Amino acid sequence: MGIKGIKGFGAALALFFWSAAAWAEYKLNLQTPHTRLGEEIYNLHTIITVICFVIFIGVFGFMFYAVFKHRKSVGHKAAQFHENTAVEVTWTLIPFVILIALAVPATGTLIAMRDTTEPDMTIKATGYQWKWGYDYLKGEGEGISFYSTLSTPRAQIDGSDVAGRKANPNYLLETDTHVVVPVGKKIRVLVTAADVIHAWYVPSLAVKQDAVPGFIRDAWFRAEKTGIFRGQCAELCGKDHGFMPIVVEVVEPAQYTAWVNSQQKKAAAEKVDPDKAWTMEDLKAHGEKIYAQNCVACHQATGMGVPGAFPALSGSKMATGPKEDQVKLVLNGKQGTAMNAFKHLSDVDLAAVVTYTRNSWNNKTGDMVAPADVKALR
Amino acid sequence: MVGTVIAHPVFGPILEQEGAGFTYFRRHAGSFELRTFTLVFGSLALLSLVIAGGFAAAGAWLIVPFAGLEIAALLTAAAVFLRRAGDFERVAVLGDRVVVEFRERGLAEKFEFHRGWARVVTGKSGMPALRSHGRTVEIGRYCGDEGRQMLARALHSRLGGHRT
Amino acid sequence: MEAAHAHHGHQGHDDHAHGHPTGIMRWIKSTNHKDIGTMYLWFSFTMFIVGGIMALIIRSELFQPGLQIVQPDFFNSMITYHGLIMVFGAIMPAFVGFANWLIPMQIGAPDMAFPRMNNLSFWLLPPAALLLIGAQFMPGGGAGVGWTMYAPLSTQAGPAMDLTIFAIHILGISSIMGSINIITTVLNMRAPGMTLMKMPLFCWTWLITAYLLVAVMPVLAGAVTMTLTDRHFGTHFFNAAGGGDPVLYQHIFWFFGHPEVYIIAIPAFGVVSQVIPAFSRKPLFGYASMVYATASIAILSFMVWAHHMYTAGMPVEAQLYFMYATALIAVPTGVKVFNWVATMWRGSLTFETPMLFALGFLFLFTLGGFTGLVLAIVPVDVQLHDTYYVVAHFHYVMVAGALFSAFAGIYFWLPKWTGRMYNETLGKLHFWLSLIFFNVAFFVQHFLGLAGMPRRIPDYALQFAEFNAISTIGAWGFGLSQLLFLYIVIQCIRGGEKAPEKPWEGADSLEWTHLPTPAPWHSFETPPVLK
Repeated sequence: MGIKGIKGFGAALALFFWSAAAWAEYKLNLQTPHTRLGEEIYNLHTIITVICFVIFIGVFGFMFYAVFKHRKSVGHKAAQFHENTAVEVTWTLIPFVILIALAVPATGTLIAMRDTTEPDMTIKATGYQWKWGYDYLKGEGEGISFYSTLSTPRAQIDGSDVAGRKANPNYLLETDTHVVVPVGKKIRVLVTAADVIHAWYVPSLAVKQDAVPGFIRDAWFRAEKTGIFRGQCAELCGKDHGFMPIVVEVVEPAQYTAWVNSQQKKAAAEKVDPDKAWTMEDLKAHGEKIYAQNCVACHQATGMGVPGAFPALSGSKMATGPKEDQVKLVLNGKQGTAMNAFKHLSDVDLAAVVTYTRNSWNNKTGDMVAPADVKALR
Repeated sequence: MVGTVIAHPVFGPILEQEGAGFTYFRRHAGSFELRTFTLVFGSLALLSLVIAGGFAAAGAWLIVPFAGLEIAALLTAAAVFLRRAGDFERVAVLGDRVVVEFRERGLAEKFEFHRGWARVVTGKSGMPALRSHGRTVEIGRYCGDEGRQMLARALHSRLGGHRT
Repeated sequence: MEAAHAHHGHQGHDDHAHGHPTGIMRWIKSTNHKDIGTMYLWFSFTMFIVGGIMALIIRSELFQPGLQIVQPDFFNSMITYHGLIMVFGAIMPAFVGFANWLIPMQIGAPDMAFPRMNNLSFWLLPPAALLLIGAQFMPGGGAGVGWTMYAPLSTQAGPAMDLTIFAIHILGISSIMGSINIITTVLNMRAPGMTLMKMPLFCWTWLITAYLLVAVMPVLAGAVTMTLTDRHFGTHFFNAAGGGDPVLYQHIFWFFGHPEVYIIAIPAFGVVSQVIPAFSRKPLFGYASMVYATASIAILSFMVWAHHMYTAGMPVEAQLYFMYATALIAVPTGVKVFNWVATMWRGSLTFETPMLFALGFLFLFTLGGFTGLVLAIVPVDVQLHDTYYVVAHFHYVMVAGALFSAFAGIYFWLPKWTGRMYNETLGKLHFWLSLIFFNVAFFVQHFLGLAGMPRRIPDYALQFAEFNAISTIGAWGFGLSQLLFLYIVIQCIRGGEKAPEKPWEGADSLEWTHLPTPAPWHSFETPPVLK
């Protein structure tokens, strides 16, 4: 039984390896690369895996030969040799040679990967708990800036809409806004974070770079074809680490120009007059949106938080006490907790969200925080 | 009873069952070599310091106190061990005499008892001891609890009052 | 001989009657290396069950897409404590248990060099374990930071983090004391004639492991202490806003963490190096090269830590250096694998349970080693880092490597320890169930990682659904198979057949050749005589 088991297992393993090569589309291998570097990495991985597989077969060929032929039950008597310098030197040297053969192509690819000079465009990706923010820093579309949050409905995640989940091909891999880039252009991505470490990872573009708060790292890609490429945050960043995907949309240059124009128009339309006289109702309505984008993951839509983990806002001292304290807290965060600084939001957004929390659920302070109040406390 | 132990090949040459002769000898540290010991402990202390120093240079100085604590632990262990490194104990039944000879923490002592009068008793710390005429000597320092039991039994069966 | 040993057993009872504490006090106060070894092993098994339950919670949540059983915070806490408990509570103490049982017997010593310190090393473990488990019940639940506890996520975690840090300090103290004890014992307590190069390989591997442990423990202690001061005392070691660097934490952690990987693996090599020759009825091939290879692995382990952080951001020159250095580890590791195979070559093999687990180790550990080589190559690692490929890789070396080796060791020495045989049929069944379910659980995770599934996520995209379901089934099968192991061990202790004096024909270290079975409570009252 034992031998058959081993044999069967070996066969299954061999099958797995072959299938890995043959059925790439059946999710047994790296995602189909869409950049030249991605292809190099794909091939590098194939070469290493094949080399390993060959050595594996060789070594365990010997082992299984011994297992079958040198067993006591077939009457094999044990030899008593226990060293052989020539053999030992050989099998120390051969791996060296193989490793050098591997290191050469790997070195070339690595150096190319790290060469972020002369980009056509530069985009900054900032990791937040738990969404990504993008700023187009250089090249066509300069000045475009937006956040990108998970757009999969909560009901599909928590199981109240299983049918919806099953019908959703992009479950957990869809966002409200896409990072749109032109095809064939070298895109440099500056990666950083606002709170904890995240990682910007898009497999089919062969990019993964940790986003470290306070530091800027970079990576680059040049997409070879148009399409929508999806990835996820790859570094544990707290509660919703699994729920902050990345969606990159690669389009033709003309389409890209059109997208840039539409973004700029939208930005102009959305640009709020800083001197605009805000009414309570306007602020609350705007604040609700900001709350949904930034606060709801921890403090919940009910304002009740998660007992033990995230404090409730509804009825809390902070959201019903002096408003200056709340503004300061939101601006600077609270050291040693998951409450991060939200300085990156605009005065209007912060004023709106504070106003919203002070006048929602059980909180009925009637306070209105104006953008100017926030500005004064920055 | 003791024969059961002695029958085993390991113990045969050391504990002799037959006749009056009986010798038990044990060194505390059988394979102690100052050079190897210093080399291993010293290089460990040095390595810890180098690592801690490297990280301190990179800004993570809080590793240094822990490396310090650890070097202190290494030194303590070395000091405790070195004091005992040359220690030994010999218990011999030679004709009418029972000789107990030992070196503990570097201090050597020797006791002689008359075989007919010596008794195996339990000493103050629970260790077996030899007693005769008001003198008591603990025995079985370097052989662990079970070894002590065996040694006590081996002697017991050879001493005056309990010979059967 | 037979009669002599019957007497021996009888004497053992006498021992308890005189002077020795019995019942619980025997264990609490014991300074006997075998008692302490036994306690280490049972402690380790208990933690293995606790960590295993956590693993099953993780896998059950991942059985299907969507959040079914647990919420993300709790999920993160499970992955954290599963890792910490398995590494520090299950695998490390298991091998310390082996060290306690075997080193004095194999080198011909009566006990460890510092028996009372040995007792303390063990009794520090249960409080640390209680802290790790108790952390779950702190306000906000356990710290969902991963076993690596990366700052600044760890600086923003709840009070459970402080308990965890405290637990790690205690575990560190225990490890350091245990290691100093082992080093001193191996260096000084050997019987006359037992030169270093005659020691069984298991003693060599532990000497090297203990050396590594002492060298890196202060680094871990410092890392978690800096996290603590960043959390409570206003320092900014890892806080960029205050001039610190979060990546510095990673450098420190992995400077400890990579040697830690070998601290787990090297004693496993030692166990396998005892088992394979015994069942091949042939001396270990290339003993000296095994010692040198083990030492080289230990030395290299200090030079490759940043291969865990290829994507964290470092100069390309550093990446190249770490890639080359990491790939270099394949050489001594290869030597070991070749030596084991050569030991079997032209032997006279039998396949009792210990040998089966050793072969399982050899086969699957090598597979894990190969995926390690794949991950060493920076451009490929950039694709695979922090995906399930890495999860599969380290479970191949930790579970199929270290754990299988521990199983091999337990089946191998159980007759020596207890004087009774385990049930061979059930032992083999345990092996085949473990082998099959292990691969069902973890082999498919390679594919998940290749396809881009990040690790440490409680929910995943639909394209990963099939393999996750398979993996969960494998994990449950593997977990339940371990209950069979518990049954086998208890059955062996309670009513196993009496073990023959030398149950394994080919076993040749001192505990087999110079001590009766079961081993007397104290190993060598007087040094054995070696040729």
